Amino acid sequence: MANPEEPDLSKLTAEELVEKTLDRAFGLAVRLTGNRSDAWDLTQETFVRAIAGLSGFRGESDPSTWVYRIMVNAWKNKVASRPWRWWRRVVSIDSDSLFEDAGKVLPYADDPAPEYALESAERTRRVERALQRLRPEDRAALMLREFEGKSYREIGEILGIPVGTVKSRLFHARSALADELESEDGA
Amino acid sequence: MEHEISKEDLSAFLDEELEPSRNTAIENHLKSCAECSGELDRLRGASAAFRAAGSPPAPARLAGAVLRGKGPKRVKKPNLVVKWAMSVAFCVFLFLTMGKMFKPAISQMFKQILAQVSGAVSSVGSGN
Repeated sequence: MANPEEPDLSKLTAEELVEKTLDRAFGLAVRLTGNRSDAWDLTQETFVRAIAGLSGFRGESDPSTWVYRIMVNAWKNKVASRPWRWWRRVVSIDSDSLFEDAGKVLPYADDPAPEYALESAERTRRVERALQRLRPEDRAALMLREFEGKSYREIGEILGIPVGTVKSRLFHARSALADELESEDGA
Repeated sequence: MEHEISKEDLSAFLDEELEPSRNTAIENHLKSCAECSGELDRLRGASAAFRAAGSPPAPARLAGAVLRGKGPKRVKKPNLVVKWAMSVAFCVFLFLTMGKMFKPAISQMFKQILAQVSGAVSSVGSGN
Protein backbone atom coordinates (compact mmCIF):
# COMPACT_ATOMS: atom_id res chain seq x y z
CA MET A 1 0.00 0.00 0.00
CA ALA A 2 1.46 3.37 -1.00
CA ASN A 3 2.50 5.74 1.74
CA PRO A 4 0.26 8.82 1.36
CA GLU A 5 3.01 11.09 2.70
CA GLU A 6 5.42 10.16 -0.08
CA PRO A 7 5.01 12.04 -3.36
CA ASP A 8 3.72 10.04 -6.29
CA LEU A 9 6.78 9.85 -8.49
CA SER A 10 4.73 8.91 -11.54
CA LYS A 11 3.16 12.40 -11.40
CA LEU A 12 6.36 14.37 -11.10
CA THR A 13 6.27 17.85 -12.62
CA ALA A 14 9.17 19.43 -14.47
CA GLU A 15 9.77 21.84 -11.60
CA GLU A 16 9.84 19.01 -9.07
CA LEU A 17 12.20 17.00 -11.24
CA VAL A 18 14.59 19.95 -11.55
CA GLU A 19 14.39 20.68 -7.83
CA LYS A 20 15.09 17.06 -6.88
CA THR A 21 17.85 16.24 -9.33
CA LEU A 22 19.47 19.25 -11.01
CA ASP A 23 22.30 19.90 -8.55
CA ARG A 24 23.39 16.29 -8.42
CA ALA A 25 22.97 15.83 -12.15
CA PHE A 26 25.21 18.83 -12.77
CA GLY A 27 27.81 17.23 -10.52
CA LEU A 28 27.73 14.11 -12.66
CA ALA A 29 27.92 16.21 -15.81
CA VAL A 30 31.06 17.91 -14.52
CA ARG A 31 32.65 14.52 -13.80
CA LEU A 32 31.77 13.28 -17.28
CA THR A 33 32.88 16.35 -19.22
CA GLY A 34 35.66 17.71 -16.99
CA ASN A 35 34.54 21.35 -17.15
CA ARG A 36 31.58 23.52 -16.20
CA SER A 37 30.93 24.88 -19.65
CA ASP A 38 30.34 21.48 -21.26
CA ALA A 39 28.58 20.33 -18.11
CA TRP A 40 26.07 23.18 -18.48
CA ASP A 41 25.30 22.14 -22.05
CA LEU A 42 25.07 18.47 -21.16
CA THR A 43 22.81 19.15 -18.18
CA GLN A 44 20.55 21.31 -20.27
CA GLU A 45 20.30 18.74 -23.03
CA THR A 46 19.59 16.03 -20.46
CA PHE A 47 16.75 17.89 -18.81
CA VAL A 48 15.22 18.89 -22.13
CA ARG A 49 14.99 15.18 -22.91
CA ALA A 50 13.88 14.24 -19.42
CA ILE A 51 11.13 16.85 -19.28
CA ALA A 52 9.95 15.85 -22.75
CA GLY A 53 9.76 12.23 -21.63
CA LEU A 54 8.33 12.92 -18.17
CA SER A 55 4.91 11.57 -19.04
CA GLY A 56 6.55 8.20 -19.66
CA PHE A 57 8.29 8.09 -16.28
CA ARG A 58 6.37 5.62 -14.17
CA GLY A 59 8.16 6.26 -10.88
CA GLU A 60 9.52 2.72 -10.68
CA SER A 61 13.06 3.95 -10.15
CA ASP A 62 14.52 6.93 -8.35
CA PRO A 63 14.14 10.04 -10.56
CA SER A 64 17.87 10.71 -10.25
CA THR A 65 18.73 7.26 -11.66
CA TRP A 66 16.44 7.93 -14.60
CA VAL A 67 17.96 11.37 -15.24
CA TYR A 68 21.49 10.02 -14.94
CA ARG A 69 20.77 7.33 -17.53
CA ILE A 70 19.56 9.98 -19.94
CA MET A 71 22.63 12.08 -19.22
CA VAL A 72 25.10 9.25 -19.75
CA ASN A 73 23.47 8.31 -23.07
CA ALA A 74 23.53 11.95 -24.17
CA TRP A 75 27.18 12.22 -23.19
CA LYS A 76 28.14 9.03 -25.02
CA ASN A 77 26.46 10.30 -28.20
CA LYS A 78 28.17 13.66 -27.88
CA VAL A 79 31.64 12.18 -27.34
CA ALA A 80 31.22 9.70 -30.17
CA SER A 81 30.30 12.39 -32.70
CA ARG A 82 32.58 15.25 -31.68
CA PRO A 83 35.14 15.86 -34.45
CA TRP A 84 37.42 18.42 -32.85
CA ARG A 85 38.71 16.72 -29.72
CA TRP A 86 41.93 18.76 -29.63
CA TRP A 87 39.96 21.98 -29.06
CA ARG A 88 38.09 20.28 -26.23
CA ARG A 89 41.41 19.51 -24.58
CA VAL A 90 42.45 23.15 -24.93
CA VAL A 91 39.30 24.55 -23.36
CA SER A 92 38.32 21.86 -20.94
CA ILE A 93 40.99 21.35 -18.32
CA ASP A 94 40.50 24.12 -15.81
CA SER A 95 40.03 22.55 -12.42
CA ASP A 96 40.21 25.92 -10.61
CA SER A 97 36.95 27.02 -12.23
CA LEU A 98 34.98 23.99 -11.10
CA PHE A 99 33.80 25.72 -7.95
CA GLU A 100 33.14 29.19 -9.37
CA ASP A 101 29.67 30.63 -8.67
CA ALA A 102 29.59 28.50 -5.52
CA GLY A 103 29.73 31.50 -3.20
CA LYS A 104 32.56 30.04 -1.18
CA VAL A 105 35.78 28.26 -1.97
CA LEU A 106 34.77 24.86 -0.60
CA PRO A 107 31.01 24.31 -0.73
CA TYR A 108 30.89 21.94 2.21
CA ALA A 109 33.32 23.68 4.55
CA ASP A 110 31.32 24.80 7.56
CA ASP A 111 34.27 25.82 9.68
CA PRO A 112 34.62 29.62 9.34
CA ALA A 113 38.33 29.68 10.28
CA PRO A 114 40.19 31.15 7.30
CA GLU A 115 43.16 28.81 7.73
CA TYR A 116 40.88 25.80 7.45
CA ALA A 117 39.13 27.30 4.42
CA LEU A 118 42.44 27.89 2.64
CA GLU A 119 43.73 24.42 3.45
CA SER A 120 40.47 22.87 2.31
CA ALA A 121 40.55 24.85 -0.91
CA GLU A 122 44.07 23.64 -1.67
CA ARG A 123 43.10 20.05 -0.90
CA THR A 124 40.10 20.38 -3.18
CA ARG A 125 42.26 21.71 -6.00
CA ARG A 126 44.71 18.81 -5.60
CA VAL A 127 41.91 16.29 -5.77
CA GLU A 128 40.38 18.00 -8.79
CA ARG A 129 43.75 18.04 -10.57
CA ALA A 130 44.11 14.33 -9.84
CA LEU A 131 40.56 13.63 -11.02
CA GLN A 132 41.22 15.33 -14.35
CA ARG A 133 43.71 12.59 -15.11
CA LEU A 134 41.12 9.83 -14.69
CA ARG A 135 38.90 8.60 -17.47
CA PRO A 136 35.44 10.23 -17.51
CA GLU A 137 33.75 6.86 -16.98
CA ASP A 138 35.85 6.20 -13.90
CA ARG A 139 35.08 9.64 -12.47
CA ALA A 140 31.38 9.13 -13.08
CA ALA A 141 31.38 5.71 -11.39
CA LEU A 142 33.18 7.14 -8.37
CA MET A 143 30.77 10.04 -8.12
CA LEU A 144 27.72 7.79 -8.34
CA ARG A 145 29.11 5.58 -5.60
CA GLU A 146 30.57 8.16 -3.20
CA PHE A 147 28.01 10.96 -3.48
CA GLU A 148 24.88 9.18 -4.59
CA GLY A 149 25.41 5.95 -2.69
CA LYS A 150 24.27 3.96 -5.72
CA SER A 151 24.74 0.22 -5.62
CA TYR A 152 26.93 -1.52 -8.18
CA ARG A 153 23.81 -2.76 -9.93
CA GLU A 154 22.37 0.78 -10.15
CA ILE A 155 25.70 2.20 -11.36
CA GLY A 156 25.79 -0.53 -13.99
CA GLU A 157 22.28 0.39 -15.15
CA ILE A 158 23.14 4.08 -15.36
CA LEU A 159 26.46 3.63 -17.17
CA GLY A 160 25.26 0.69 -19.27
CA ILE A 161 27.99 -1.67 -18.08
CA PRO A 162 28.04 -5.01 -16.22
CA VAL A 163 28.46 -5.11 -12.44
CA GLY A 164 31.91 -6.66 -12.83
CA THR A 165 33.00 -3.65 -14.89
CA VAL A 166 31.61 -1.29 -12.23
CA LYS A 167 33.74 -3.05 -9.62
CA SER A 168 36.79 -2.76 -11.83
CA ARG A 169 36.16 0.93 -12.65
CA LEU A 170 35.74 1.87 -9.01
CA PHE A 171 38.94 0.14 -8.03
CA HIS A 172 40.78 1.78 -10.91
CA ALA A 173 39.42 5.23 -10.02
CA ARG A 174 40.37 4.96 -6.35
CA SER A 175 43.79 3.51 -7.08
CA ALA A 176 44.59 6.11 -9.71
CA LEU A 177 43.39 8.91 -7.42
CA ALA A 178 45.51 7.54 -4.57
CA ASP A 179 48.55 7.38 -6.89
CA GLU A 180 48.06 10.97 -8.03
CA LEU A 181 47.61 12.31 -4.52
CA GLU A 182 50.70 10.42 -3.34
CA SER A 183 52.77 11.78 -6.23
CA GLU A 184 51.57 15.34 -5.47
CA ASP A 185 52.55 14.83 -1.84
CA GLY A 186 55.96 13.68 -2.90
CA ALA A 187 56.46 16.49 -5.45
CA MET B 1 52.36 -14.59 1.47
CA GLU B 2 50.02 -15.63 -1.30
CA HIS B 3 46.98 -13.39 -1.51
CA GLU B 4 43.60 -15.03 -1.75
CA ILE B 5 41.94 -11.77 -2.64
CA SER B 6 42.34 -9.28 -5.46
CA LYS B 7 42.70 -5.52 -5.06
CA GLU B 8 39.38 -5.13 -6.82
CA ASP B 9 37.83 -7.27 -4.13
CA LEU B 10 39.27 -4.91 -1.54
CA SER B 11 37.58 -1.99 -3.26
CA ALA B 12 34.28 -3.90 -3.34
CA PHE B 13 34.79 -4.85 0.32
CA LEU B 14 34.97 -1.13 1.08
CA ASP B 15 31.60 -0.73 -0.62
CA GLU B 16 30.06 -3.77 1.14
CA GLU B 17 29.19 -5.19 -2.24
CA LEU B 18 30.54 -8.70 -1.71
CA GLU B 19 28.66 -11.78 -0.69
CA PRO B 20 28.78 -12.45 3.07
CA SER B 21 31.07 -15.47 2.73
CA ARG B 22 33.56 -13.46 0.66
CA ASN B 23 33.34 -10.59 3.13
CA THR B 24 34.23 -12.89 5.99
CA ALA B 25 37.15 -14.37 4.07
CA ILE B 26 38.55 -10.89 3.43
CA GLU B 27 38.08 -9.80 7.05
CA ASN B 28 40.03 -12.84 8.18
CA HIS B 29 42.76 -12.24 5.60
CA LEU B 30 43.16 -8.60 6.62
CA LYS B 31 43.88 -9.62 10.20
CA SER B 32 47.17 -11.17 9.11
CA CYS B 33 48.14 -9.29 5.95
CA ALA B 34 49.73 -5.88 6.40
CA GLU B 35 50.05 -5.38 2.65
CA CYS B 36 46.33 -5.79 1.99
CA SER B 37 45.45 -3.71 5.06
CA GLY B 38 47.70 -0.96 3.71
CA GLU B 39 46.10 -1.14 0.28
CA LEU B 40 42.63 -0.97 1.84
CA ASP B 41 43.66 2.13 3.79
CA ARG B 42 45.00 3.65 0.60
CA LEU B 43 41.72 3.08 -1.25
CA ARG B 44 39.72 4.32 1.72
CA GLY B 45 41.87 7.47 1.83
CA ALA B 46 41.27 8.16 -1.86
CA SER B 47 37.51 7.81 -1.36
CA ALA B 48 37.59 10.13 1.64
CA ALA B 49 39.61 12.73 -0.28
CA PHE B 50 37.11 12.57 -3.14
CA ARG B 51 34.17 13.04 -0.78
CA ALA B 52 35.90 15.88 1.05
CA ALA B 53 36.41 17.73 -2.22
CA GLY B 54 32.65 17.90 -2.63
CA SER B 55 30.60 17.95 -5.77
CA PRO B 56 30.59 21.11 -7.92
CA PRO B 57 27.22 22.80 -7.38
CA ALA B 58 25.03 23.84 -10.27
CA PRO B 59 25.21 27.52 -11.29
CA ALA B 60 22.33 29.59 -9.95
CA ARG B 61 20.92 30.36 -13.41
CA LEU B 62 20.88 26.82 -14.71
CA ALA B 63 17.54 25.83 -13.16
CA GLY B 64 15.81 28.76 -14.82
CA ALA B 65 17.48 28.05 -18.13
CA VAL B 66 16.49 24.39 -17.98
CA LEU B 67 12.85 25.16 -17.20
CA ARG B 68 12.71 27.71 -20.00
CA GLY B 69 13.98 25.01 -22.29
CA LYS B 70 16.92 27.08 -23.48
CA GLY B 71 20.01 28.70 -22.08
CA PRO B 72 22.43 31.53 -22.80
CA LYS B 73 24.74 30.82 -25.63
CA ARG B 74 27.92 29.84 -23.86
CA VAL B 75 31.10 30.77 -25.60
CA LYS B 76 33.82 28.28 -24.95
CA LYS B 77 36.58 30.10 -23.13
CA PRO B 78 40.09 29.00 -23.96
CA ASN B 79 42.24 28.53 -20.93
CA LEU B 80 44.43 31.32 -19.59
CA VAL B 81 47.73 30.07 -21.00
CA VAL B 82 46.35 29.93 -24.50
CA LYS B 83 44.84 33.41 -24.14
CA TRP B 84 48.14 34.92 -23.01
CA ALA B 85 50.11 33.16 -25.73
CA MET B 86 47.71 34.42 -28.37
CA SER B 87 47.90 37.98 -27.00
CA VAL B 88 51.71 37.95 -26.99
CA ALA B 89 51.84 36.50 -30.49
CA PHE B 90 49.47 39.20 -31.73
CA CYS B 91 51.52 42.00 -30.15
CA VAL B 92 54.74 40.66 -31.67
CA PHE B 93 53.07 40.39 -35.07
CA LEU B 94 51.73 43.93 -34.79
CA PHE B 95 55.12 45.30 -33.74
CA LEU B 96 56.98 43.58 -36.57
CA THR B 97 54.41 44.56 -39.17
CA MET B 98 54.23 48.20 -38.13
CA GLY B 99 57.99 48.41 -37.82
CA LYS B 100 58.48 47.14 -41.32
CA MET B 101 55.77 49.38 -42.77
CA PHE B 102 56.86 52.58 -41.11
CA LYS B 103 60.65 52.08 -41.07
CA PRO B 104 61.34 54.56 -43.93
CA ALA B 105 59.04 57.21 -42.41
CA ILE B 106 60.57 56.73 -38.94
CA SER B 107 64.12 57.02 -40.36
CA GLN B 108 63.15 60.19 -42.25
CA MET B 109 61.67 61.67 -39.07
CA PHE B 110 64.82 60.98 -37.08
CA LYS B 111 66.98 62.54 -39.80
CA GLN B 112 64.83 65.68 -39.78
CA ILE B 113 65.03 65.92 -36.00
CA LEU B 114 68.80 65.40 -36.14
CA ALA B 115 69.15 68.07 -38.85
CA GLN B 116 67.16 70.59 -36.82
CA VAL B 117 69.15 69.88 -33.68
CA SER B 118 72.43 70.21 -35.61
CA GLY B 119 71.20 73.47 -37.16
CA ALA B 120 70.25 74.83 -33.77
CA VAL B 121 73.62 73.88 -32.28
CA SER B 122 75.48 75.49 -35.23
CA SER B 123 73.52 78.75 -34.95
CA VAL B 124 74.18 78.93 -31.20
CA GLY B 125 77.84 78.24 -31.83
CA SER B 126 78.15 81.01 -34.40
CA GLY B 127 76.51 83.48 -32.04
CA ASN B 128 73.33 84.07 -34.16
